[in-house]
Amino acid sequence: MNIKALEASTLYGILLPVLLLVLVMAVNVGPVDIDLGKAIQDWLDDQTTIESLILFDIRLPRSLLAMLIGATLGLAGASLQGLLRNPLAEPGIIGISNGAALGAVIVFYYGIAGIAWFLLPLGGLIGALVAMIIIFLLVGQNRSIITLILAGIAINAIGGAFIALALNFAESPYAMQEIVFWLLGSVSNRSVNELYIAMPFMLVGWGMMLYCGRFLNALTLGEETAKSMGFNVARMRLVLILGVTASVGAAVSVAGNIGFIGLVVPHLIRPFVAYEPRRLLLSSAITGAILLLTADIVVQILSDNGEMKLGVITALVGAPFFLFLILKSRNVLQ
Amino acid sequence: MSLLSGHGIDYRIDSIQILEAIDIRVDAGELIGLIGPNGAGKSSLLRLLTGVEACTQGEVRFDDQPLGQISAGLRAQRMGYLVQGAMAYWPFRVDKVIELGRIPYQKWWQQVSSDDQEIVEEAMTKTETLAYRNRIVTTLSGGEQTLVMLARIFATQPDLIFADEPVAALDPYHQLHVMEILRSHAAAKRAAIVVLHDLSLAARFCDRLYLLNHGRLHCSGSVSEVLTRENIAEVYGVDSQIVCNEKGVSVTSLSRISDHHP
Amino acid sequence: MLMKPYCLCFTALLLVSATLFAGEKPQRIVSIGLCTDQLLLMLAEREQIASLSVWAKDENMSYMIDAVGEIPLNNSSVEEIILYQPDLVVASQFAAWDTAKFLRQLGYEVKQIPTARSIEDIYALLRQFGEWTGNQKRAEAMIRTMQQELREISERYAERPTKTVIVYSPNGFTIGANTLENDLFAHAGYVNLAAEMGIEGFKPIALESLIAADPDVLQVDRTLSRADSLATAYMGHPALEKMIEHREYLDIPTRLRICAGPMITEAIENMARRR
Repeated sequence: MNIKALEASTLYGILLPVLLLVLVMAVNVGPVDIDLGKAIQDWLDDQTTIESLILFDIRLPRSLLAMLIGATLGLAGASLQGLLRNPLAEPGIIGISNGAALGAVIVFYYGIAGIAWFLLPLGGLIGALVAMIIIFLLVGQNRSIITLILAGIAINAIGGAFIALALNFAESPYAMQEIVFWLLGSVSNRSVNELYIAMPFMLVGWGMMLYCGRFLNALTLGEETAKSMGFNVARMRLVLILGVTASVGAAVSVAGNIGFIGLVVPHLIRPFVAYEPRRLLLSSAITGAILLLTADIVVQILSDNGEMKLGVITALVGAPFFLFLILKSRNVLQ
Repeated sequence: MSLLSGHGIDYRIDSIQILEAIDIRVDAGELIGLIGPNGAGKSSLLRLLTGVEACTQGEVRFDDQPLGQISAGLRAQRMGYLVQGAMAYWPFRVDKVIELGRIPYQKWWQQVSSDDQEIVEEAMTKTETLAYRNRIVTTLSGGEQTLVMLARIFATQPDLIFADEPVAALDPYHQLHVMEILRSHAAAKRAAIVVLHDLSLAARFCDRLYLLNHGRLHCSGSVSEVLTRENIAEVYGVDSQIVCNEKGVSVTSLSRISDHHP
Repeated sequence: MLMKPYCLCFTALLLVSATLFAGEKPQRIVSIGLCTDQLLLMLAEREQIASLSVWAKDENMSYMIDAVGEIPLNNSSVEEIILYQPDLVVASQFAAWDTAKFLRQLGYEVKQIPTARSIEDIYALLRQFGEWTGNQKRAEAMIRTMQQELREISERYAERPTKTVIVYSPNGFTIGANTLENDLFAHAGYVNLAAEMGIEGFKPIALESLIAADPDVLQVDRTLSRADSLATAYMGHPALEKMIEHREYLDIPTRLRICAGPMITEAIENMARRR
């Protein structure tokens, strides 16, 4: 099937309005029926009413958070796939997300988070970075898809085990049940506080990843050629990795490990940007935001008191997609 | 003054001596050939000359400036490097691949401009790749891909082109085509330095040759000075026949020399 | 001469009736749960208690914490319990059912108190506990005191208006109809909006629904709030903070309302007073 690439103006002309539409739908869904017009009016009049409270303190922060996290995951997926030149690379599959969750769990449950606001997302960053370093050590020079996936399986298993361990020994009596949140992810009951904590790291991370766009394009021709085009390959690689770990670390630290967005999104968009890694970055960010927001809408429709975790929906869609990808590239794997 | 020169180049990796005491020079208008048996260090030398790797000892100068003092960005604009087996990882369209050649001139937020696109057109004309500008590069034949990669380099408008075995897997038609393109690039007051295995091609197209063996310079000079039966026997270990006439030069390997140690 | 056989008979009768009487009252009672801890400390004689659960010393949960003293504590594990050689083990019905089953299999006497869903249930529970531990009189006295206190509370605050209330606890749970808390609210002059919305038992409620219900009073136990748990992070949500800003919230200590017993009258008094 030949999908024709789109001009930037057409592509964003479609994606941005869809994002806006989905955002409006997202703040419209919830267990209580409220009049959005009244809510906005009350807010403008500086009145705290039921409607304004629900819209601006509960639904909007939640939806914005879902949007930013979806964008982060989409962007990180596109970045990793560009860097590793491997279409199956994604923060969840290669174990970065679990690493971030481990870092966040240690900070949150052992009394470190309260010391300063940035320690929680920083814990996520460090956890993600450690996972990334281990991946590079395991994979070495080997570019094959299988090696990367195997390394990812190992990191995910180890990360999951340590998360369970950390929760087991935590003082809080609720810790163990909360493992579901960390491993599956959720934005329910997250407020502006979480938005404020995660945003700085996410924005910086985005900047770093977008900065590497040209580099990823040059990398299409190989590392040597990229070097000859004037890039300090080692330095650019470091900038990209820091960008990925900072943004994913922050996202996971406030919403847990939401999987598969970084895998599915670049795949969907790639044909529309003619496979250009640089163009893939921003468009994956926007599409990731759209997808995660949609998933959150589905979650809210299916369970009206936030029982279902967001990661369940993304897994239900993403896992079969992953399977399909593996089957499609079976020849390559031989 | 030479465009590019290297003095006393030494290159060592993990205490293995790859290159020793190499002196080399490329002047404007020249097409230089780097020849020698497998493992002689030709590709390594090329990498050192482009600045992608650094010498352990010795110095490379470009336009009479030490290579290390020229910024990577400037080097990227003045030099074009065609790596061995150059290929695109993602299935880009041909004109998009060639556009990558403009990267050394773009800031990280900039898009391809109309000036850039004109230069890309020129590059495609030079390499006769206009016909498949809309094809996906990974669907092209080996020869066509090499032409596209060359076009990418031309889009950068470099002074000096480095090519590592550009014609190794190509059919005779494309072999001649690529060498002609490099020849005409050099002729226009620029230069090119090419690693080659095919001695006939080297003889026919290069102005001067450097013959490497075991990381050392065996000899250098004009084609007739370097490509002698004795040199070829000593370095390659084959008995050869060299025929020169007005149609061209051809070097034919006849038989292996029995007590040669490669 | 005739006195000797009479004395002998009489002493024998005394001894027999003493042992019979002593045999009725368990002497080494082990409690393996918070609520049976409370009941033991309130209804039983100190010598009867062999061990209480570790929860008896929990500052937030144990009403009778000051009465514990030197009584040994157990972690509700079967090995520890057996060491005390109990003649009676008491527990809540839901709390330690597999421990209870195991102990019964080993031949120990295990009695479990049911979950009280109303104040009437509490009276029945107290009576039953009195019977098991041989302290029926004390139990009856306690019941009478409770009934008296409840009457007094009702009269004292009769003039004040009824208020609507919702409970919000860790993980977003609320308390609905058919629960003890619900009955407490009724006795304290409150209408539990969760019950009005049709919620039964302990169920989660969406924060939005909570806000939309717009109760006069919100009951949140701040003592349970901790920085290192997502469950209690619910209670720190800005929307909830704003809601609390605009209305009162009821902070009834957990130890007053978590177990069935006479302390609930104190809880009811607290609630009624705040109306």
